[in-house]
Amino acid sequence: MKSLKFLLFSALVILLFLIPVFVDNLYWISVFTKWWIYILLTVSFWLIMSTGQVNLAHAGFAAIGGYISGALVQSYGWNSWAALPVGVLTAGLIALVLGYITLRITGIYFIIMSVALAGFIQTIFGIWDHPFGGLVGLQSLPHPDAFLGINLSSRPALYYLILICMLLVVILVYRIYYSSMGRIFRGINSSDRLAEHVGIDIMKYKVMVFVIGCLCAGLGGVLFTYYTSTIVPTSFTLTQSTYYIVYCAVGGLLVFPGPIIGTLVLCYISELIKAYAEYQNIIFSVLLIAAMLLFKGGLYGLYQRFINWISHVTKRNETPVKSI
Amino acid sequence: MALLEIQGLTKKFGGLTAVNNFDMVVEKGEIAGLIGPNGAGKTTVFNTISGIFKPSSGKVLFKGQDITGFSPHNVVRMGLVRTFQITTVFSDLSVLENIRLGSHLLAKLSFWDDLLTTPYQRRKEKELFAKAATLAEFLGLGDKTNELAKNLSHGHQRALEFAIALASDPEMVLLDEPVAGMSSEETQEMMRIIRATRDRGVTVLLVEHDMKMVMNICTNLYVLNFGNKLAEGNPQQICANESVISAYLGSEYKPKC
Repeated sequence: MKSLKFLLFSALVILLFLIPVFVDNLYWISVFTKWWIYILLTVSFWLIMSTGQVNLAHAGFAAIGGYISGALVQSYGWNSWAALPVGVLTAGLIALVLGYITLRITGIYFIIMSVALAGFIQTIFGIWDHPFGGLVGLQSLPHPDAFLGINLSSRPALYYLILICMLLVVILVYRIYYSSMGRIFRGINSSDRLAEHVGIDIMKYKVMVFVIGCLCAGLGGVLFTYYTSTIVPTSFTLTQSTYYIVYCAVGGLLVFPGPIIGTLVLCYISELIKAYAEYQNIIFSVLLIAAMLLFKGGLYGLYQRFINWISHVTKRNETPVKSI
Repeated sequence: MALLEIQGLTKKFGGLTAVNNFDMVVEKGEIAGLIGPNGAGKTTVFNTISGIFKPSSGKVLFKGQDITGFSPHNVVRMGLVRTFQITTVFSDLSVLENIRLGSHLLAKLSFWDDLLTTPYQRRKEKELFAKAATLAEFLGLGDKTNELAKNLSHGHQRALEFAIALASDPEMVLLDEPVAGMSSEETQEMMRIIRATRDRGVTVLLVEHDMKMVMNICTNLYVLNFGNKLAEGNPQQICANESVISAYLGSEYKPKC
């Protein structure tokens, strides 16, 4: 079973790597690149959410990564490969400090803290003209510098760079979620009172997952600046963070493929209805409500139920509950 | 040897004194009972011991060490666990995962152990899941190991709670109304399990309203009323105690001792 999963995953990865070879259309390569960034942001958001913490400042941490690395490159002439880790680590450090201060408060208060933080981040990057470009933001950011001699200024090159980063984050989140750490996160989500009474230091784990998730968000922000060469205060808003919730809910909240599936489906829909972009929020809201009311467990849940129905109908004995 | 010692424990919530200057000693190997009417402060005593509340004054000593004000996970670290009045399990996890989480402190897995699935991690997971399966069996949940905790009946959830508590190999368990809502068969079964647990070297302190069970199983009793200690002693003494009878047991109780 495990080797089957690994084979499928490898096949999928190979497919993704072959896309620029077979798809000549630079526009679509760009779109896919954008989707990889969204997947990276959504799965890291989902990891934090597995402990019950809904981080509506997640997009804000992406902004931190993007702005810090962008400013270092543009205003201070740094090499992008030096600026990237600084951007990512700044996001992580802020998450660490804020985490320790505010995570003593549980439940709905975390989400409120994150809302306040999202607004704060958006505002603060709009205040200074130097080095963050004020309300205009950072424009005409350069391509990432060459990595080990590989030129990264073309669309396909960026596609591969961002794909690799996305896959690394996806593997990281997968490994964490399906380990005893992930079980601890799910335990904390189920009952943090009981979790602390089996000896789990819930503060430590909540801060830890928050920092890991925000480090990934920071990376997503840096990659975003490579992709669009700009970053403005409205690039990463509170609304953006709510999209992550929708992606996770529609795809399936409790299993790993969920957030990925949800992101891909909704990003595709978003692409389809581009001409009617004003209706995107309405459509997403409807899908979110539908996911909550009708197809619990999201699209992946529907798929699982379909599989169960098939095996039930063909009278094979399969236990539907997978123990992790 | 006194395993758990409470000295002058007082807990106030604003103007309300829930527990007032309460002293208690539980000896190693005992099954002790804390009884009294509803609202007497029994769960507050438990909450103060387990670290949910900090006492307004007084001390809690476990194995001779002052654990007053320790946060819950540090109390568990000392070897003292508790169950809750309202059934508390990890609802979205399976029975086996629930019990496995109880063994959290026995695992000692680092972040890297988990990320890289080191041989140590694999060995520990195997060991602790086997232990969880054994505990499930002991608590009558052997055939339900893959069931989600929220799908269990009330009695089974109670049993699961106990399994989770035992999974950390504690030296002492505090049981808050372990047989609440149970039929007499389920109660008999729970009593058997509590005795078996004591026989394996775990000291027990329980809060209960089921007097038949309490008088049967406890070696030593403490009676609380409105936050004050009303009496202490063995079941015979408590049964015959006039103030306990008038405050709690009722005058028809005396002949039942």
